[in-house]
Amino acid sequence: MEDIKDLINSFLEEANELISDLEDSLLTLEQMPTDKDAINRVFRVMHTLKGSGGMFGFNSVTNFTHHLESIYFKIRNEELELSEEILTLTLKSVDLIKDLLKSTGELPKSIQLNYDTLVNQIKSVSNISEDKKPITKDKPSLQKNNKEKSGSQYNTYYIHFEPNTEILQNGTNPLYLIDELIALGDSRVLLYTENIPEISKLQAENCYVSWEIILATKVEIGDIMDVFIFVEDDSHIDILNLSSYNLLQFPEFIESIDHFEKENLSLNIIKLQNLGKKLIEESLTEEHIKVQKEVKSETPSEPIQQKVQKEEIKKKKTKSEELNIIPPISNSKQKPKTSVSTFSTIRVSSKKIETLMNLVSEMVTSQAHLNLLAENIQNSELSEAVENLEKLTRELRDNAFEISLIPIESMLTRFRRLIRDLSNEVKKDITFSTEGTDTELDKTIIENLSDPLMHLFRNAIDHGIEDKETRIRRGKPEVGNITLKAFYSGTYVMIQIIDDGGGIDPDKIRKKAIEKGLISAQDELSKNAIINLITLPGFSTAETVTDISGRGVGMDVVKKNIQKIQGELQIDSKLGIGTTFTLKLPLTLSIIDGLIVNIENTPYIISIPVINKIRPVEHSAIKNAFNNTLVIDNEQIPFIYLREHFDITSTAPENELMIVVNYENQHMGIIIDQIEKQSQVVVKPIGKQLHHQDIISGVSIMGDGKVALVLDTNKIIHSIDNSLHIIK
Amino acid sequence: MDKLNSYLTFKLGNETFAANVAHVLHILGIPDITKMPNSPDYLMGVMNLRGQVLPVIDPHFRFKIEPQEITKDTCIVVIEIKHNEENYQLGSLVDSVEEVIEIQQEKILPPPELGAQYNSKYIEGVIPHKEKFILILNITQVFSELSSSLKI
Repeated sequence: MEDIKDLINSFLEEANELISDLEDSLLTLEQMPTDKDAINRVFRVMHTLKGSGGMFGFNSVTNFTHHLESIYFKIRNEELELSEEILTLTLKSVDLIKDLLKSTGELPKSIQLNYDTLVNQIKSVSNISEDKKPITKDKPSLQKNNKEKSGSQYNTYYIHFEPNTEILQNGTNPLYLIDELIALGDSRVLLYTENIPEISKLQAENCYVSWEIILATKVEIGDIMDVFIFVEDDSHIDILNLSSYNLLQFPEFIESIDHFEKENLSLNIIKLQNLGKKLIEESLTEEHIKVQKEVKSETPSEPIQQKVQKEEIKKKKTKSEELNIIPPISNSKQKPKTSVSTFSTIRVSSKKIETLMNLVSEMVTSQAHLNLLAENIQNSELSEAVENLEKLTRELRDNAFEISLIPIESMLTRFRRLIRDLSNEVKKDITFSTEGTDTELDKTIIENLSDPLMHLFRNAIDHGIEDKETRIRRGKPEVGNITLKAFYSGTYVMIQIIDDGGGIDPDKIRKKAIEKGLISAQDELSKNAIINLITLPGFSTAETVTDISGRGVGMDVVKKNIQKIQGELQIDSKLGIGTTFTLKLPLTLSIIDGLIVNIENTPYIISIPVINKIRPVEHSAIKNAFNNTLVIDNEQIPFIYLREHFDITSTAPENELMIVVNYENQHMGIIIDQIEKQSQVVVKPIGKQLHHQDIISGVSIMGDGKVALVLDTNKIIHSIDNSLHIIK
Repeated sequence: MDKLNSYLTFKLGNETFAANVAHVLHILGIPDITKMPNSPDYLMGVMNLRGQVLPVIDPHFRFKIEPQEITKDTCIVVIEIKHNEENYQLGSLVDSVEEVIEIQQEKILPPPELGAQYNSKYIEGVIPHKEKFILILNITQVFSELSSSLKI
């Protein structure tokens, strides 16, 4: 039983990926309704959902997708045009499929209702087409379709399909595959039965037959391959392109095939090809000279030249060996955009990766321990071995960490969707562009980013981008734009959300902040500081509370969430021009450059990137400091005396150190006893029982086995500075 | 957790307690313990157990026993408890471990009314042993309360 559950889970996982792929393709189609690749992808995803949905008992999904698929089948065959209406309908359907995937048994009423309405809509859409568009494919003509018109043309393929003898036991009916092929265009199917053994040796569950099919179709070779997608691994399949014309329109050609069939011979491809060539040449010279002249001038001599394209899936077949073998073409036709799916990848559960990461972390720790021991023993051979091992450990660590990184692209689909839906809702025309979406981040960070980003997008759509009239009045392009830009910057990844909307009005913010008692009317704040006020709790300037944003819990939550993953949020805005939110995020949470410091014999770690400088201070100076502020390098720096903050009563050393850290665009000092060393440390999350320690963001095991505490400097300053939270 | 018939006995001050061995994972000498700032008195800090970071708890005060000086007999008993469907491991300071005794469930006496000193909810039963009484601790109760009170 467990196995089935696992299978269902992995199906659901796959389905979610498929759906996100589907949404992605649909949004591409919205931009370019004629993108053939995208249509094919949509069709493929639906097909797979339909198939595997049924296998795992999601019958509602199968039935529903079946209806939906029929629309795209027509679009793919150019019997139906992809309209905005269909796209919206499909997106709605995608939502329904998501719901359907959550329920295996009886459907809840609301979903059932939704289901019925959508099915009706789908039916009406796919029926319209049948009345509207007469189909012109019954009359064969040698017209080589205009490339720019439809991007498709007839090709004649030879397909040899010899299923594995056990195919029936896997629950696949090869006849369905043949049916599917036939549906792609004109065809002749030849069945070969000579492998069927005598009845005494015949196993009823085995499949002994093979097929040869001549198929004249407009679809591309990749789509033919798709038919075999579930059986290609253990069946023998050859597909090759006989001609870039529909050869089946020539009676002579069909006759020749029939001849082979009668003799029960397998098709002689070379003969067929030559025959096709001859037939085409004849017909070209006879009747279609004029027409073809134009075509020829476009693509000189190309169309007549026989292109033999061979898609070899398993092993070479003897009879086709003499043909030129052109490397598989199915991938090359895809645009680089879909490159994700062409990487050779394996799927690994994130749990396994977590385990790997933990092991590597422990290894790094043990390595530090080993280094320490080797240093003490002072044996050159040992030192050398340890050094080598250390190099390997470091490489292993880097590689393992790389594995846990995923590209930002992976979370963008839902934002594309969100922006589309929301901008429709508020009736604003907004385009969404992205840059650098292959930038990679730690999985945990990506997971924690989606909420804050969602909120920033909502804000940009609702408050940022102005309505059309305002934009025209301000001399801006009618269509607003939101850009997501990601790039590396040192050990950080920056993500920017840029809108070309109205910008944030500092005067308005200031007024509001005074109203809410967040600042007093006398406070002199820089423009930047004012803008940053919007990240304070309970601050929302939207005049009307809308559905989309402006509930007053907003930017402060965004900021908090970003800080939780050790990130920073910066806001830049120019009134009337737009706003840029910049998120500065660490590449990974689990390894940091740390400064190991000591307070009362307890080791603490401070993240090096937040450190601005380090200065020695005398204990007496700290004692006598007025208002906990010291002048360092001609700058007044407020400081936090950690001994006091931690209620440590023992006597402090005479000379202490001030670590000056960056805190919200200003400097803050943290006083510690002494520095031990600088080191890369593996941060472990703090134990479940110790959650209340929010000024300690994690722990790390040192080389000597001691546990050091990772200080969250932002939290410490914040907890002390709560009343002082306005930037001076 | 399935109860076994074996109990580890240990001392806090002069009192002997027993813990069902199903809860006991390791017995260690005193490792390096890193103090946590601003933590309650009973949280001694955190320790490293083969790459795992565990909190170390001093249970003396729970039984109103004066904390003792650390001697060569002082140990950390690493125990595992299940609380809110999650397994927790933590280290508990004990002044010394004595022995492992086996006793049939029938021979365990019900917890007596002990007056004010020990809250009876922390005591599962009593083992009569060598003319003394050993109190069996309800480990889950004692430590889940301590560790959950850490989550403020």
